[in-house]
Amino acid sequence: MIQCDTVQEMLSNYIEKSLEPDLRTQIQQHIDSCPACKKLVANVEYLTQRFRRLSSLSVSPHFDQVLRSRIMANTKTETPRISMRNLSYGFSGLAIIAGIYFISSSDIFNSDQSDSESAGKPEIINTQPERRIPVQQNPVAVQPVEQSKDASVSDSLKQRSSDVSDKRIQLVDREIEE
Amino acid sequence: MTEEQNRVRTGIEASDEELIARFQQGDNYAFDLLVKRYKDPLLNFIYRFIGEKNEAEDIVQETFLRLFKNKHYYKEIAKFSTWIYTIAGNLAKTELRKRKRRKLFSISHYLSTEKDYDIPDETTSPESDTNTLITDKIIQRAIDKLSPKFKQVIILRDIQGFSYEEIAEIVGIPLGTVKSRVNRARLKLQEDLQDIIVDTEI
Repeated sequence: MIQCDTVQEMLSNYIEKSLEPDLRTQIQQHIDSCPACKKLVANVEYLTQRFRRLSSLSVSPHFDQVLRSRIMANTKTETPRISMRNLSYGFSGLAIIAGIYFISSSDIFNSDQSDSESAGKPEIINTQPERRIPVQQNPVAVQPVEQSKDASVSDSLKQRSSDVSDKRIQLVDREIEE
Repeated sequence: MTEEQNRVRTGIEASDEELIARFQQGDNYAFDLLVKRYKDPLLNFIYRFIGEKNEAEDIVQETFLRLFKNKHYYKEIAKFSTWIYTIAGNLAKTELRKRKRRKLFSISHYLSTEKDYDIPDETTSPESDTNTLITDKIIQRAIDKLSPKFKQVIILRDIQGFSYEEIAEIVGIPLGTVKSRVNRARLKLQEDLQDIIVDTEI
C-alpha cells in the first residue's frame, strides 16, 4: 500500500512520467484518494511551470566593452610571465647551441692548423697559434652567441606582443563587422 | 555575399563545440559568438543563484575571462554548455561562501535579515505587470533560502531546463543525487510558496 511519504519521494518521477507503469498506477490510486497528495502534486506542477516563466534578465549594454577591457588588461599582465618562460627555454637552447658551436669551431681551427702545417710554414705556426687559440676562439665562439641571445629575447618579446595586439585587433574589428 | 555564405562566415549556425574548437585555434570571433550566446543565460543562472544582478554580471564576466584564459582546458568529451555552466556555478558558489563569511562579521546582519532583491528591469510581455514582478520577487526569496546544493540543481532543472544527466555533469554529482535534490527542493519550495500558489490557483 502506497503511503504519502512514498508519493513525496516519487513526486518528481510522477510529474515527469518516468515511473514504472505498475508503480505509477499505485501512486495514481493513492493520489486520487488523498486530497493532501493531490494538492501537493498540483502545487508542484504549477510551480515548475511558473519557474519557466520567471522574467529574464539581459546583461547591461556595456557588458561587451567591459569584458574586452578585462581581457586586454589580463593579457597585458600575463605577457611578461609568458616571456620569462620563453626566455628560459631560449637560454637553455642557446647554451646547447653555444656548446656545439664551441666544439665544432675548435675542430675547424685545428683542422686549419693541420692544413697550414701541411702547407709548409711550421716555424710561424708553432710559435703563434698557441697564443692565438684563446684570442681567436673567444670572439668566434662567444660573440655570436651573445648577439643571438639578445636577438632571440627581443624576437620572442616582439612575437608575443604582436600576437597579443593581433588578438585585440581581431576582437574589436570582428565585432564592428558583426 | 549571399545570406547563407554570410551565416557560414559569421558562424551563426556553428555548434558550441565547433566554436570553442575554432577559438582554441586562435579565432577570437568564435569567442565573441560564444559570449553572445551565453551571456544572458549565464546571467539568469547566476542571478537566480545569488540574487543580485550586478554581482551576477560580474561573475558572468569572470566566467568569460576564465574561458578566454583557459580555453585549452576544454576537451571535446564534454558539452561546451555543461563546461561553461560548471565554471559559472563554481564562481557563484564561491561568491556565496564569501558572502556568508562577510555576514558573520557584519553588524547589519544582526539588525536586519531582510534583503532587497533586484527586480528584473525588463518587461518582456504585457503580462509582465507589477503582480508578475512581485511574484518573481517572492519566488526569488524562496530560492534564496535554499542551501546552495539544492539551489543550484533546482535552478538548472526548473528555470534553465537542463536534463538530469547534464546537471549531474555540471555539478559533478551522481544522477541519483541530482534527482533526489531536485525533488527535495521542489517540496521545500512548495511549502514556502503556498501564498503565491493559493493566490493564483484557488
